[in-house]
Amino acid sequence: MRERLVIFFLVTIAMAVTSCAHLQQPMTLSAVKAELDCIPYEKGVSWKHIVATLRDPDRAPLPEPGTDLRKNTRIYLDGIIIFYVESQEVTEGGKIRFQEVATHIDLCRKK
Amino acid sequence: MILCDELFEKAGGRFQVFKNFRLQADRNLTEKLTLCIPDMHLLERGPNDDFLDQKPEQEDRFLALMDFLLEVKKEEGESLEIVQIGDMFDLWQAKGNTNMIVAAYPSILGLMDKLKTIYVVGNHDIELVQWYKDQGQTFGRRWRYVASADGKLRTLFEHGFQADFANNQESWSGVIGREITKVVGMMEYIDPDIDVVLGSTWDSIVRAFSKYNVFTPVQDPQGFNAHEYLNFYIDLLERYNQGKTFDHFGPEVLDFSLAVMGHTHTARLVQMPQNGRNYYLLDCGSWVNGGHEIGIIAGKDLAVARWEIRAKGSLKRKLRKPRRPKKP
Repeated sequence: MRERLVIFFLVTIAMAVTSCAHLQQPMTLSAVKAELDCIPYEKGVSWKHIVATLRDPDRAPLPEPGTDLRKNTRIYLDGIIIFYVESQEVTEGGKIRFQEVATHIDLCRKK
Repeated sequence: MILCDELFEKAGGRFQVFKNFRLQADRNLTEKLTLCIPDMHLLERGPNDDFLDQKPEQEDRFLALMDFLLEVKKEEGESLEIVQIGDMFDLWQAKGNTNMIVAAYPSILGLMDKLKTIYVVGNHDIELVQWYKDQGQTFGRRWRYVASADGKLRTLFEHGFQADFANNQESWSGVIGREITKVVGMMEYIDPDIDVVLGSTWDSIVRAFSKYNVFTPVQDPQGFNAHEYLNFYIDLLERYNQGKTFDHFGPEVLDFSLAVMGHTHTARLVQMPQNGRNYYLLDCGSWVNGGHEIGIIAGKDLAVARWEIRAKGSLKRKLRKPRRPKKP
């Protein structure tokens, strides 16, 4: 009897969880990006452009000893990163295999 | 086109005919060597991933099959056709959609695309044709596929959920079936084999009803059914042949003899005479919970074979201990 009650309990919980999961509709990238301010990363993108989109950084670390003062890092603690990934053919041990590689990055912040 | 024997020879013993599922049809069913890859139910490698079944060798086995088929494709070119019969993804249990399943199995999906696989949609990945229904985007998935021989349409490939009361996604019963499956999927996080246990229980109930023929004693007085969907598919093929279809096939090309399906996860090959001709049903089996079957159609040749990790007997020979010398 106790086993049946446990199974009934598990089924009820599972049904409730899957029903809740149903409420979360999957979104396309364009729908996600409509709620964000994003800047596509590419080498050489202007810092002014980044600040204009993502606002001021949360942390500006000291330069490491022995480095150039004009080479810096800036940290956003609540940033959102979007990776664009694609499947790429590779050869492993003479056999064709595929791996996913990131091709682009968008740096984003909630509007 | 190469036939079954030649394919088996090329595979060097790694293809083994499953049970006794091999026969010669009375007419050509395809013009190409056509392989049917059945249900895979790919997920994100979690405990509910029935393809991996927590055994990494299952992925290696599938990759070895793909490697072999790439070699065959190099030699045979367009004469080799591969059809995945649906339920390649298990979107009912996926954490999101196909996205993280692609991340989990990049090589399997890449190699299947490289082999120019024809994808038929199943009930567990039917979302692929529903997400962008209005724009006509189906991600290369088809409801069904037909193959021809001798200038006639002879073989119909369909997942099989269409014949299943509990899983037909176009009916209310299918919606209930889907919710029950999702619940069972959640329970797999507690016990990964719960789906197998409950599935066997359900099969026992269905078998008991079918054995004692509770529902249709008049139509089927023997209470015997070679395949639960056999009648559905033979009726469907006959309706096609009679021209009762909305598909745009001319009556002169309609000569269906074979239905190829998956869905049940139970491989079978059945021949049934009806109205003066032979019909055939090939259930390609599955690649879940350790299943590793594949359906093969080549001209008149029909078979279900299992793809073994290594040629049958090779492990035995390798591991056989040297005999002890007899005591004097």
